[in-house]
Amino acid sequence: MTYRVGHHSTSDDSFAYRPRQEVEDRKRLDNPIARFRLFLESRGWWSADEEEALKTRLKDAVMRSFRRAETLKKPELHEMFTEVYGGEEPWNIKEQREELKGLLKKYGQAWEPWRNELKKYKGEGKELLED
Amino acid sequence: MFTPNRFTYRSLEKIAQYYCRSRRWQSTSTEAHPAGGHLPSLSTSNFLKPTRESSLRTPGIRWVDEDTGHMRDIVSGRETRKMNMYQAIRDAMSIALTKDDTAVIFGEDVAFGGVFRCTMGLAEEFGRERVFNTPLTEQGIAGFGIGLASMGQTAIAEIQFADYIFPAFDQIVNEAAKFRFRSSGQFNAGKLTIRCPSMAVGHGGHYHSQSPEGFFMGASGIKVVIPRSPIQAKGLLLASIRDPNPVIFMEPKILYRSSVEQVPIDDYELPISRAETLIPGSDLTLLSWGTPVYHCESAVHMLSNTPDSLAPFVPSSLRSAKVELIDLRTILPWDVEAVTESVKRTGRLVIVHEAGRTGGVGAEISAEIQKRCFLKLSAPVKLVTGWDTPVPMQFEKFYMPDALRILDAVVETFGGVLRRLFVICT
Repeated sequence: MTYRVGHHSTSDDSFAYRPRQEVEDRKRLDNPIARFRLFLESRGWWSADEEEALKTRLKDAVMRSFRRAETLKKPELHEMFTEVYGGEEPWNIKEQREELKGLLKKYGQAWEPWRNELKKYKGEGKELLED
Repeated sequence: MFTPNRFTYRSLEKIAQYYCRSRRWQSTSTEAHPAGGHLPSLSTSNFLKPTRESSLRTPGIRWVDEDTGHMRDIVSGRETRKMNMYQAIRDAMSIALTKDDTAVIFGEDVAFGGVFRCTMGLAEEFGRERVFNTPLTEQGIAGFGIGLASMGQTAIAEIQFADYIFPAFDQIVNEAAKFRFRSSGQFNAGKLTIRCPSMAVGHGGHYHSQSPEGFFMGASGIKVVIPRSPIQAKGLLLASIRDPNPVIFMEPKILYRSSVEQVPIDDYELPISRAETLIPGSDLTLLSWGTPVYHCESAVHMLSNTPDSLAPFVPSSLRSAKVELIDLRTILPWDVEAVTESVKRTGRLVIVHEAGRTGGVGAEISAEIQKRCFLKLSAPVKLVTGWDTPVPMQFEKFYMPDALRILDAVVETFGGVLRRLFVICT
Protein backbone atom coordinates (compact mmCIF):
# COMPACT_ATOMS: atom_id res chain seq x y z
CA MET A 1 0.00 0.00 0.00
CA THR A 2 1.37 3.37 -0.98
CA TYR A 3 -0.04 6.83 -0.49
CA ARG A 4 0.64 9.99 -2.49
CA VAL A 5 0.94 12.97 -0.16
CA GLY A 6 1.17 15.61 -2.92
CA HIS A 7 -1.36 16.58 -5.53
CA HIS A 8 -1.11 14.35 -8.54
CA SER A 9 0.13 17.19 -10.73
CA THR A 10 -0.08 20.95 -11.12
CA SER A 11 -3.52 20.42 -12.66
CA ASP A 12 -4.86 18.40 -9.74
CA ASP A 13 -6.54 19.71 -6.61
CA SER A 14 -6.73 16.51 -4.63
CA PHE A 15 -8.56 18.14 -1.72
CA ALA A 16 -11.64 18.03 -3.92
CA TYR A 17 -11.79 14.30 -3.36
CA ARG A 18 -9.92 13.64 -0.08
CA PRO A 19 -9.76 15.49 3.21
CA ARG A 20 -6.79 17.76 3.72
CA GLN A 21 -6.33 16.35 7.23
CA GLU A 22 -5.99 12.82 5.86
CA VAL A 23 -3.07 13.96 3.72
CA GLU A 24 -1.45 15.88 6.57
CA ASP A 25 -1.75 12.83 8.81
CA ARG A 26 -0.17 10.65 6.20
CA LYS A 27 2.77 13.01 5.95
CA ARG A 28 3.42 12.86 9.68
CA LEU A 29 2.10 9.68 11.19
CA ASP A 30 3.60 6.33 10.53
CA ASN A 31 5.21 7.65 7.35
CA PRO A 32 8.06 5.27 6.46
CA ILE A 33 10.10 7.97 4.73
CA ALA A 34 9.81 10.35 7.67
CA ARG A 35 10.60 7.52 10.07
CA PHE A 36 13.66 6.50 8.10
CA ARG A 37 14.90 10.09 8.00
CA LEU A 38 14.50 10.35 11.77
CA PHE A 39 16.34 7.07 12.18
CA LEU A 40 19.24 8.28 10.04
CA GLU A 41 19.36 11.59 11.87
CA SER A 42 19.29 9.90 15.26
CA ARG A 43 22.35 7.93 14.24
CA GLY A 44 24.07 11.06 13.00
CA TRP A 45 24.11 9.74 9.44
CA TRP A 46 21.96 12.46 7.96
CA SER A 47 20.99 16.05 8.71
CA ALA A 48 18.57 18.75 7.66
CA ASP A 49 21.39 20.60 5.89
CA GLU A 50 22.38 17.57 3.90
CA GLU A 51 18.76 16.99 3.04
CA GLU A 52 18.39 20.52 1.76
CA ALA A 53 21.59 20.31 -0.30
CA LEU A 54 20.47 17.03 -1.83
CA LYS A 55 17.07 18.44 -2.72
CA THR A 56 18.59 21.49 -4.38
CA ARG A 57 21.07 19.40 -6.35
CA LEU A 58 18.44 16.92 -7.57
CA LYS A 59 15.91 19.59 -8.43
CA ASP A 60 18.55 21.44 -10.42
CA ALA A 61 19.50 18.28 -12.31
CA VAL A 62 15.88 17.47 -13.11
CA MET A 63 15.14 20.99 -14.31
CA ARG A 64 18.25 21.06 -16.49
CA SER A 65 17.27 17.75 -18.09
CA PHE A 66 13.76 19.02 -18.50
CA ARG A 67 14.86 22.17 -20.29
CA ARG A 68 17.18 20.23 -22.53
CA ALA A 69 14.49 17.69 -23.43
CA GLU A 70 12.12 20.48 -24.36
CA THR A 71 14.50 21.72 -27.04
CA LEU A 72 14.96 18.29 -28.61
CA LYS A 73 13.13 17.35 -31.77
CA LYS A 74 10.68 14.48 -31.86
CA PRO A 75 12.15 11.15 -32.97
CA GLU A 76 12.44 10.31 -36.65
CA LEU A 77 9.04 9.69 -38.15
CA HIS A 78 9.83 6.20 -39.41
CA GLU A 79 10.14 5.10 -35.79
CA MET A 80 6.34 5.06 -35.67
CA PHE A 81 6.50 1.69 -37.42
CA THR A 82 9.52 0.18 -35.71
CA GLU A 83 9.48 -2.05 -32.61
CA VAL A 84 5.89 -3.12 -33.18
CA TYR A 85 7.26 -6.58 -33.88
CA GLY A 86 10.65 -8.14 -33.42
CA GLY A 87 12.13 -10.26 -36.17
CA GLU A 88 10.71 -10.07 -39.65
CA GLU A 89 8.47 -7.08 -40.24
CA PRO A 90 4.94 -8.12 -41.23
CA TRP A 91 3.55 -7.02 -44.60
CA ASN A 92 0.85 -4.79 -43.15
CA ILE A 93 3.32 -2.65 -41.22
CA LYS A 94 5.59 -2.49 -44.24
CA GLU A 95 2.78 -1.49 -46.58
CA GLN A 96 1.35 1.07 -44.21
CA ARG A 97 4.74 2.71 -43.85
CA GLU A 98 4.87 2.82 -47.66
CA GLU A 99 1.41 4.36 -47.69
CA LEU A 100 2.48 7.14 -45.33
CA LYS A 101 5.64 7.61 -47.38
CA GLY A 102 3.52 8.08 -50.49
CA LEU A 103 1.33 10.61 -48.70
CA LEU A 104 4.34 12.56 -47.44
CA LYS A 105 5.92 12.60 -50.88
CA LYS A 106 2.72 13.98 -52.29
CA TYR A 107 1.67 16.45 -49.62
CA GLY A 108 4.57 16.81 -47.17
CA GLN A 109 5.74 20.09 -48.62
CA ALA A 110 2.57 21.24 -50.38
CA TRP A 111 0.24 21.15 -47.38
CA GLU A 112 1.23 23.70 -44.79
CA PRO A 113 -0.12 21.97 -41.67
CA TRP A 114 1.93 18.87 -42.55
CA ARG A 115 5.00 20.88 -43.55
CA ASN A 116 4.94 22.66 -40.19
CA GLU A 117 4.36 19.44 -38.31
CA LEU A 118 7.21 17.67 -40.08
CA LYS A 119 9.63 20.34 -38.89
CA LYS A 120 9.14 19.10 -35.34
CA TYR A 121 10.70 15.75 -36.17
CA LYS A 122 14.32 14.83 -36.31
CA GLY A 123 15.09 14.56 -40.01
CA GLU A 124 11.75 16.20 -40.82
CA GLY A 125 10.41 12.94 -42.22
CA LYS A 126 13.11 12.73 -44.91
CA GLU A 127 14.46 9.44 -43.63
CA LEU A 128 11.04 7.91 -44.18
CA LEU A 129 11.06 9.05 -47.79
CA GLU A 130 14.47 7.47 -48.28
CA ASP A 131 13.66 4.18 -46.51
CA MET B 1 -7.26 4.90 11.56
CA PHE B 2 -6.94 5.89 7.99
CA THR B 3 -9.52 5.32 5.36
CA PRO B 4 -7.73 3.36 2.67
CA ASN B 5 -7.34 5.58 -0.32
CA ARG B 6 -9.27 4.16 -3.21
CA PHE B 7 -7.18 5.94 -5.80
CA THR B 8 -4.21 4.42 -7.39
CA TYR B 9 -1.59 6.07 -9.44
CA ARG B 10 -3.30 5.10 -12.65
CA SER B 11 -6.62 6.71 -11.94
CA LEU B 12 -4.93 9.89 -10.89
CA GLU B 13 -2.63 9.89 -13.83
CA LYS B 14 -5.72 9.78 -15.98
CA ILE B 15 -7.34 12.62 -14.14
CA ALA B 16 -4.30 14.77 -14.37
CA GLN B 17 -3.79 14.19 -18.01
CA TYR B 18 -7.19 15.51 -18.88
CA TYR B 19 -7.47 18.40 -16.55
CA CYS B 20 -6.40 21.76 -17.71
CA ARG B 21 -4.00 23.59 -15.51
CA SER B 22 -6.44 26.17 -14.28
CA ARG B 23 -9.48 23.96 -13.78
CA ARG B 24 -10.86 22.75 -10.52
CA TRP B 25 -13.16 19.88 -9.76
CA GLN B 26 -16.21 21.76 -8.69
CA SER B 27 -16.26 24.27 -11.49
CA THR B 28 -19.15 23.95 -13.87
CA SER B 29 -18.05 26.58 -16.33
CA THR B 30 -17.97 25.44 -19.92
CA GLU B 31 -15.87 28.31 -21.19
CA ALA B 32 -12.44 26.97 -20.39
CA HIS B 33 -10.03 25.35 -22.76
CA PRO B 34 -11.30 21.92 -23.87
CA ALA B 35 -9.93 19.16 -21.66
CA GLY B 36 -8.95 16.94 -24.50
CA GLY B 37 -7.57 19.57 -26.84
CA HIS B 38 -9.01 21.49 -29.73
CA LEU B 39 -10.67 20.14 -32.81
CA PRO B 40 -10.51 23.06 -35.24
CA SER B 41 -13.17 21.80 -37.61
CA LEU B 42 -15.77 21.74 -34.82
CA SER B 43 -16.06 25.50 -34.60
CA THR B 44 -17.38 25.68 -38.12
CA SER B 45 -19.22 22.37 -38.35
CA ASN B 46 -22.65 22.41 -39.91
CA PHE B 47 -23.49 19.21 -38.07
CA LEU B 48 -23.78 20.94 -34.70
CA LYS B 49 -27.17 22.49 -34.10
CA PRO B 50 -26.84 25.95 -32.56
CA THR B 51 -30.55 26.85 -32.51
CA ARG B 52 -33.63 25.53 -30.74
CA GLU B 53 -35.45 25.05 -34.05
CA SER B 54 -32.76 22.93 -35.65
CA SER B 55 -32.24 21.00 -32.42
CA LEU B 56 -35.90 20.04 -32.03
CA ARG B 57 -35.95 18.86 -35.63
CA THR B 58 -33.09 16.43 -35.16
CA PRO B 59 -33.80 13.60 -37.62
CA GLY B 60 -35.16 10.46 -36.00
CA ILE B 61 -35.81 12.10 -32.62
CA ARG B 62 -38.46 10.30 -30.57
CA TRP B 63 -39.88 12.17 -27.60
CA VAL B 64 -40.47 10.06 -24.54
CA ASP B 65 -43.17 11.85 -22.59
CA GLU B 66 -44.13 11.02 -19.07
CA ASP B 67 -47.75 12.10 -19.12
CA THR B 68 -48.90 9.64 -21.74
CA GLY B 69 -46.27 6.99 -21.41
CA HIS B 70 -46.19 7.03 -25.18
CA MET B 71 -43.88 8.69 -27.59
CA ARG B 72 -45.44 11.77 -29.07
CA ASP B 73 -44.20 13.82 -31.93
CA ILE B 74 -44.87 17.36 -30.80
CA VAL B 75 -42.20 20.00 -31.20
CA SER B 76 -43.98 23.10 -30.02
CA GLY B 77 -43.53 24.07 -26.40
CA ARG B 78 -40.32 22.09 -26.03
CA GLU B 79 -37.20 23.84 -24.83
CA THR B 80 -33.53 23.42 -25.41
CA ARG B 81 -30.44 24.42 -23.47
CA LYS B 82 -26.89 25.02 -24.62
CA MET B 83 -24.83 22.01 -23.58
CA ASN B 84 -21.54 20.46 -24.44
CA MET B 85 -21.34 16.69 -24.77
CA TYR B 86 -20.49 15.87 -21.18
CA GLN B 87 -23.39 18.00 -20.00
CA ALA B 88 -25.74 16.28 -22.44
CA ILE B 89 -24.57 12.89 -21.19
CA ARG B 90 -25.08 14.02 -17.61
CA ASP B 91 -28.54 15.24 -18.58
CA ALA B 92 -29.39 11.85 -20.07
CA MET B 93 -28.26 10.04 -16.92
CA SER B 94 -30.17 12.47 -14.75
CA ILE B 95 -33.33 11.63 -16.70
CA ALA B 96 -32.60 7.91 -16.41
CA LEU B 97 -32.18 8.20 -12.62
CA THR B 98 -35.30 10.36 -12.25
CA LYS B 99 -37.61 8.16 -14.26
CA ASP B 100 -36.27 4.76 -13.35
CA ASP B 101 -36.05 4.00 -9.64
CA THR B 102 -33.93 0.95 -10.32
CA ALA B 103 -31.24 2.91 -12.18
CA VAL B 104 -27.80 3.22 -10.60
CA ILE B 105 -24.53 4.69 -11.84
CA PHE B 106 -21.14 3.42 -10.76
CA GLY B 107 -17.52 3.42 -11.78
CA GLU B 108 -14.16 4.83 -10.81
CA ASP B 109 -14.51 8.37 -9.40
CA VAL B 110 -18.07 8.85 -10.70
CA ALA B 111 -19.30 10.03 -7.28
CA PHE B 112 -16.92 12.98 -7.60
CA GLY B 113 -18.25 13.77 -11.03
CA GLY B 114 -15.94 11.57 -13.07
CA VAL B 115 -12.71 12.64 -14.72
CA PHE B 116 -14.67 14.13 -17.60
CA ARG B 117 -17.47 15.48 -15.38
CA CYS B 118 -20.20 13.41 -16.95
CA THR B 119 -21.61 12.52 -13.52
CA MET B 120 -21.07 15.95 -11.94
CA GLY B 121 -23.49 16.51 -9.09
CA LEU B 122 -25.46 13.30 -9.68
CA ALA B 123 -24.35 11.74 -6.39
CA GLU B 124 -25.48 14.86 -4.51
CA GLU B 125 -28.76 14.96 -6.40
CA PHE B 126 -29.71 11.30 -6.32
CA GLY B 127 -27.77 10.02 -3.35
CA ARG B 128 -24.66 7.94 -2.91
CA GLU B 129 -26.69 4.75 -2.91
CA ARG B 130 -27.46 5.35 -6.57
CA VAL B 131 -24.29 7.06 -7.80
CA PHE B 132 -21.21 5.51 -6.30
CA ASN B 133 -17.52 4.87 -6.72
CA THR B 134 -16.10 1.43 -7.28
CA PRO B 135 -12.62 0.10 -6.64
CA LEU B 136 -10.24 0.25 -9.55
CA THR B 137 -11.27 -2.99 -11.20
CA GLU B 138 -12.87 -2.87 -14.62
CA GLN B 139 -13.62 -6.57 -14.54
CA GLY B 140 -15.35 -6.00 -11.22
CA ILE B 141 -17.33 -3.04 -12.56
CA ALA B 142 -18.57 -5.05 -15.54
CA GLY B 143 -19.32 -8.14 -13.46
CA PHE B 144 -21.16 -6.10 -10.85
CA GLY B 145 -23.18 -4.41 -13.60
CA ILE B 146 -24.08 -7.74 -15.17
CA GLY B 147 -25.27 -9.03 -11.81
CA LEU B 148 -27.36 -5.94 -11.16
CA ALA B 149 -28.82 -5.99 -14.66
CA SER B 150 -29.70 -9.67 -14.44
CA MET B 151 -31.64 -8.92 -11.26
CA GLY B 152 -33.68 -6.29 -13.08
CA GLN B 153 -31.80 -3.14 -12.10
CA THR B 154 -30.80 -0.58 -14.69
CA ALA B 155 -27.02 -0.60 -14.42
CA ILE B 156 -25.10 2.32 -15.92
CA ALA B 157 -21.41 1.62 -15.54
CA GLU B 158 -18.50 3.84 -16.43
CA ILE B 159 -15.14 2.52 -17.51
CA GLN B 160 -12.92 5.53 -17.02
CA PHE B 161 -11.23 5.15 -20.42
CA ALA B 162 -12.09 2.83 -23.28
CA ASP B 163 -8.41 1.87 -23.18
CA TYR B 164 -9.14 0.21 -19.82
CA ILE B 165 -12.09 -1.84 -20.96
CA PHE B 166 -9.82 -4.79 -21.70
CA PRO B 167 -9.72 -6.07 -18.11
CA ALA B 168 -13.53 -6.23 -18.45
CA PHE B 169 -13.34 -8.03 -21.78
CA ASP B 170 -14.08 -11.44 -20.32
CA GLN B 171 -17.11 -10.22 -18.38
CA ILE B 172 -18.46 -8.37 -21.42
CA VAL B 173 -17.78 -11.03 -24.05
CA ASN B 174 -18.31 -14.21 -22.05
CA GLU B 175 -20.97 -13.07 -19.60
CA ALA B 176 -22.91 -10.00 -20.75
CA ALA B 177 -23.00 -10.97 -24.41
CA LYS B 178 -23.88 -14.64 -23.87
CA PHE B 179 -26.22 -14.32 -20.89
CA ARG B 180 -29.44 -14.37 -22.90
CA PHE B 181 -28.33 -17.11 -25.28
CA ARG B 182 -26.99 -19.50 -22.70
CA SER B 183 -30.16 -19.32 -20.58
CA SER B 184 -32.41 -19.68 -23.61
CA GLY B 185 -33.80 -16.26 -22.90
CA GLN B 186 -34.64 -16.91 -19.26
CA PHE B 187 -32.10 -14.35 -18.08
CA ASN B 188 -30.26 -11.47 -19.67
CA ALA B 189 -28.01 -8.51 -18.89
CA GLY B 190 -29.91 -6.18 -21.18
CA LYS B 191 -30.26 -3.48 -18.56
CA LEU B 192 -26.52 -2.96 -18.54
CA THR B 193 -24.96 0.03 -20.28
CA ILE B 194 -21.22 0.58 -20.14
CA ARG B 195 -20.06 4.11 -20.94
CA CYS B 196 -16.44 4.76 -21.78
CA PRO B 197 -14.50 7.75 -23.17
CA SER B 198 -12.70 6.74 -26.34
CA MET B 199 -10.75 7.93 -29.37
CA ALA B 200 -7.76 10.27 -29.49
CA VAL B 201 -7.20 13.82 -28.29
CA GLY B 202 -3.77 14.64 -29.68
CA HIS B 203 -1.62 13.85 -26.66
CA GLY B 204 -3.05 10.73 -25.08
CA GLY B 205 -0.41 8.19 -26.03
CA HIS B 206 -0.94 4.45 -26.11
CA TYR B 207 -3.41 4.22 -23.24
CA HIS B 208 -5.66 7.24 -23.57
CA SER B 209 -6.31 7.27 -27.29
CA GLN B 210 -7.65 3.94 -28.43
CA SER B 211 -10.84 3.10 -30.28
CA PRO B 212 -11.54 -0.47 -29.21
CA GLU B 213 -14.92 -0.87 -30.92
CA GLY B 214 -13.50 -3.39 -33.39
CA PHE B 215 -12.66 -5.85 -30.60
CA PHE B 216 -16.36 -6.19 -29.79
CA MET B 217 -17.55 -6.89 -33.34
CA GLY B 218 -17.54 -10.62 -32.71
CA ALA B 219 -19.45 -10.43 -29.44
CA SER B 220 -22.99 -10.95 -30.66
CA GLY B 221 -25.43 -10.14 -27.90
CA ILE B 222 -24.00 -6.73 -27.11
CA LYS B 223 -24.40 -3.49 -28.99
CA VAL B 224 -21.81 -0.79 -29.56
CA VAL B 225 -22.88 2.84 -29.97
CA ILE B 226 -20.71 5.92 -30.66
CA PRO B 227 -22.26 9.42 -30.68
CA ARG B 228 -20.81 12.44 -32.49
CA SER B 229 -22.38 15.39 -30.61
CA PRO B 230 -24.32 16.50 -27.52
CA ILE B 231 -27.79 15.96 -29.05
CA GLN B 232 -26.73 12.61 -30.42
CA ALA B 233 -25.11 11.58 -27.15
CA LYS B 234 -28.19 12.30 -25.04
CA GLY B 235 -30.66 10.58 -27.36
CA LEU B 236 -28.47 7.61 -28.10
CA LEU B 237 -27.48 7.13 -24.46
CA LEU B 238 -31.10 7.10 -23.29
CA ALA B 239 -31.91 4.63 -26.06
CA SER B 240 -28.90 2.52 -25.03
CA ILE B 241 -29.91 2.51 -21.37
CA ARG B 242 -33.41 1.34 -22.32
CA ASP B 243 -32.37 -1.08 -25.05
CA PRO B 244 -33.13 -4.69 -24.09
CA ASN B 245 -29.49 -5.61 -24.70
CA PRO B 246 -26.23 -4.69 -23.01
CA VAL B 247 -24.73 -1.69 -24.77
CA ILE B 248 -21.19 -0.35 -24.82
CA PHE B 249 -21.44 3.38 -25.29
CA MET B 250 -18.17 4.90 -26.45
CA GLU B 251 -17.89 8.65 -26.05
CA PRO B 252 -15.27 10.43 -28.21
CA LYS B 253 -13.55 12.31 -25.43
CA ILE B 254 -12.28 15.22 -27.52
CA LEU B 255 -15.93 16.12 -28.11
CA TYR B 256 -16.86 16.32 -24.40
CA ARG B 257 -16.18 20.04 -24.24
CA SER B 258 -15.48 21.07 -27.77
CA SER B 259 -18.84 20.07 -29.25
CA VAL B 260 -21.67 22.34 -28.14
CA GLU B 261 -25.30 22.35 -29.23
CA GLN B 262 -28.73 23.43 -28.16
CA VAL B 263 -29.94 20.17 -26.62
CA PRO B 264 -33.64 19.45 -25.98
CA ILE B 265 -34.21 19.34 -22.23
CA ASP B 266 -37.03 16.78 -22.53
CA ASP B 267 -36.61 13.04 -22.53
CA TYR B 268 -35.95 11.77 -26.05
CA GLU B 269 -34.26 8.91 -27.82
CA LEU B 270 -32.43 8.52 -31.07
CA PRO B 271 -32.60 5.15 -32.80
CA ILE B 272 -29.91 2.53 -32.29
CA SER B 273 -28.68 0.63 -35.35
CA ARG B 274 -29.67 3.50 -37.62
CA ALA B 275 -27.01 5.43 -39.50
CA GLU B 276 -27.60 9.08 -40.29
CA THR B 277 -26.87 10.77 -43.59
CA LEU B 278 -25.29 14.11 -42.79
CA ILE B 279 -24.56 15.25 -46.33
CA PRO B 280 -26.54 13.72 -49.19
CA GLY B 281 -24.60 12.95 -52.34
CA SER B 282 -24.62 10.76 -55.43
CA ASP B 283 -20.99 10.12 -56.38
CA LEU B 284 -19.20 8.65 -53.38
CA THR B 285 -20.17 7.44 -49.90
CA LEU B 286 -17.98 8.55 -47.01
CA LEU B 287 -18.69 6.57 -43.84
CA SER B 288 -17.40 7.30 -40.36
CA TRP B 289 -18.36 7.64 -36.69
CA GLY B 290 -17.33 9.73 -33.71
CA THR B 291 -14.56 12.31 -34.01
CA PRO B 292 -13.51 11.64 -37.64
CA VAL B 293 -17.01 12.58 -38.83
CA TYR B 294 -15.81 16.18 -38.51
CA HIS B 295 -12.59 15.48 -40.41
CA CYS B 296 -14.79 14.02 -43.14
CA GLU B 297 -16.84 17.20 -43.19
CA SER B 298 -13.63 19.20 -43.64
CA ALA B 299 -12.47 16.87 -46.41
CA VAL B 300 -15.76 17.24 -48.27
CA HIS B 301 -15.40 20.99 -47.96
CA MET B 302 -11.80 20.84 -49.20
CA LEU B 303 -12.93 18.85 -52.22
CA SER B 304 -15.37 21.52 -53.41
CA ASN B 305 -13.32 24.48 -52.19
CA THR B 306 -9.84 23.19 -52.83
CA PRO B 307 -7.11 25.31 -51.23
CA ASP B 308 -4.59 26.58 -53.78
CA SER B 309 -1.82 24.48 -52.30
CA LEU B 310 -3.81 21.30 -52.95
CA ALA B 311 -5.10 22.30 -56.37
CA PRO B 312 -2.51 20.18 -58.21
CA PHE B 313 -3.79 17.08 -56.42
CA VAL B 314 -7.52 17.58 -56.88
CA PRO B 315 -8.56 17.44 -60.55
CA SER B 316 -10.97 20.27 -61.26
CA SER B 317 -13.45 17.77 -62.66
CA LEU B 318 -13.87 16.35 -59.15
CA ARG B 319 -14.66 19.61 -57.41
CA SER B 320 -18.33 19.37 -58.25
CA ALA B 321 -18.52 15.72 -57.17
CA LYS B 322 -21.28 15.05 -54.67
CA VAL B 323 -19.95 13.14 -51.67
CA GLU B 324 -22.49 11.55 -49.35
CA LEU B 325 -21.38 11.58 -45.71
CA ILE B 326 -22.89 9.04 -43.32
CA ASP B 327 -22.42 8.81 -39.55
CA LEU B 328 -22.77 5.11 -38.71
CA ARG B 329 -23.57 5.86 -35.02
CA THR B 330 -24.15 2.23 -34.06
CA ILE B 331 -21.18 -0.02 -34.76
CA LEU B 332 -22.83 -3.27 -33.70
CA PRO B 333 -25.25 -4.24 -35.14
CA TRP B 334 -24.54 -1.68 -37.86
CA ASP B 335 -27.01 -0.26 -40.36
CA VAL B 336 -26.15 -2.39 -43.35
CA GLU B 337 -29.25 -1.29 -45.25
CA ALA B 338 -28.42 2.40 -45.13
CA VAL B 339 -24.84 1.86 -46.21
CA THR B 340 -25.80 -0.61 -48.94
CA GLU B 341 -28.49 1.69 -50.29
CA SER B 342 -26.05 4.58 -50.40
CA VAL B 343 -23.22 2.67 -52.04
CA LYS B 344 -25.57 1.20 -54.64
CA ARG B 345 -26.33 4.79 -55.66
CA THR B 346 -22.81 6.19 -55.46
CA GLY B 347 -20.72 3.18 -56.49
CA ARG B 348 -17.88 4.21 -54.19
CA LEU B 349 -17.18 3.81 -50.50
CA VAL B 350 -14.50 5.31 -48.29
CA ILE B 351 -14.56 4.28 -44.61
CA VAL B 352 -12.77 6.37 -41.99
CA HIS B 353 -11.96 5.27 -38.45
CA GLU B 354 -9.29 6.02 -35.88
CA ALA B 355 -8.63 2.41 -34.90
CA GLY B 356 -5.96 0.45 -36.76
CA ARG B 357 -6.83 -1.16 -40.06
CA THR B 358 -6.32 -4.87 -39.45
CA GLY B 359 -9.35 -6.39 -37.79
CA GLY B 360 -10.99 -2.97 -37.71
CA VAL B 361 -14.65 -2.23 -38.21
CA GLY B 362 -13.86 -0.87 -41.68
CA ALA B 363 -12.68 -4.31 -42.80
CA GLU B 364 -15.95 -5.88 -41.68
CA ILE B 365 -18.07 -3.26 -43.41
CA SER B 366 -16.10 -3.37 -46.65
CA ALA B 367 -16.41 -7.17 -46.81
CA GLU B 368 -20.18 -6.93 -46.45
CA ILE B 369 -20.54 -4.04 -48.88
CA GLN B 370 -18.33 -5.65 -51.51
CA LYS B 371 -20.56 -8.71 -51.28
CA ARG B 372 -23.79 -6.74 -51.58
CA CYS B 373 -22.73 -4.03 -54.03
CA PHE B 374 -20.05 -5.76 -56.11
CA LEU B 375 -21.64 -5.06 -59.47
CA LYS B 376 -22.40 -1.45 -58.54
CA LEU B 377 -18.92 -0.61 -57.32
CA SER B 378 -16.83 1.66 -59.53
CA ALA B 379 -13.80 1.41 -57.26
CA PRO B 380 -12.57 -0.79 -54.42
CA VAL B 381 -13.78 0.16 -50.95
CA LYS B 382 -11.06 2.30 -49.41
CA LEU B 383 -10.13 2.52 -45.75
CA VAL B 384 -8.60 5.55 -44.05
CA THR B 385 -7.59 4.41 -40.58
CA GLY B 386 -4.93 4.54 -37.94
CA TRP B 387 -1.93 2.37 -38.76
CA ASP B 388 -1.47 -1.10 -37.29
CA THR B 389 0.77 0.21 -34.52
CA PRO B 390 -0.07 1.30 -30.98
CA VAL B 391 -1.33 4.91 -30.99
CA PRO B 392 2.01 6.72 -30.93
CA MET B 393 2.26 9.71 -28.63
CA GLN B 394 4.96 11.46 -30.66
CA PHE B 395 3.55 10.66 -34.09
CA GLU B 396 -0.17 11.06 -33.57
CA LYS B 397 -0.55 13.76 -36.24
CA PHE B 398 0.66 11.28 -38.83
CA TYR B 399 -1.14 8.33 -37.31
CA MET B 400 -4.74 9.49 -37.15
CA PRO B 401 -6.76 9.98 -40.31
CA ASP B 402 -7.06 13.72 -40.88
CA ALA B 403 -8.96 15.77 -43.44
CA LEU B 404 -6.10 15.61 -45.94
CA ARG B 405 -5.79 11.83 -45.81
CA ILE B 406 -9.55 11.56 -46.25
CA LEU B 407 -9.49 13.99 -49.16
CA ASP B 408 -6.67 11.98 -50.74
CA ALA B 409 -8.66 8.75 -50.37
CA VAL B 410 -11.72 10.37 -51.93
CA VAL B 411 -9.70 11.70 -54.88
CA GLU B 412 -7.94 8.35 -55.32
CA THR B 413 -11.24 6.49 -55.23
CA PHE B 414 -12.56 8.74 -57.98
CA GLY B 415 -9.24 8.74 -59.79
CA GLY B 416 -9.04 5.00 -60.16
CA VAL B 417 -12.23 5.08 -62.20
CA LEU B 418 -11.13 7.99 -64.31
CA ARG B 419 -7.92 6.19 -65.13
CA ARG B 420 -9.82 3.05 -66.08
CA LEU B 421 -12.21 5.02 -68.24
CA PHE B 422 -9.26 6.68 -69.84
CA VAL B 423 -7.79 3.30 -70.73
CA ILE B 424 -11.10 2.08 -72.12
CA CYS B 425 -11.67 5.24 -74.15
CA THR B 426 -8.25 5.33 -75.77
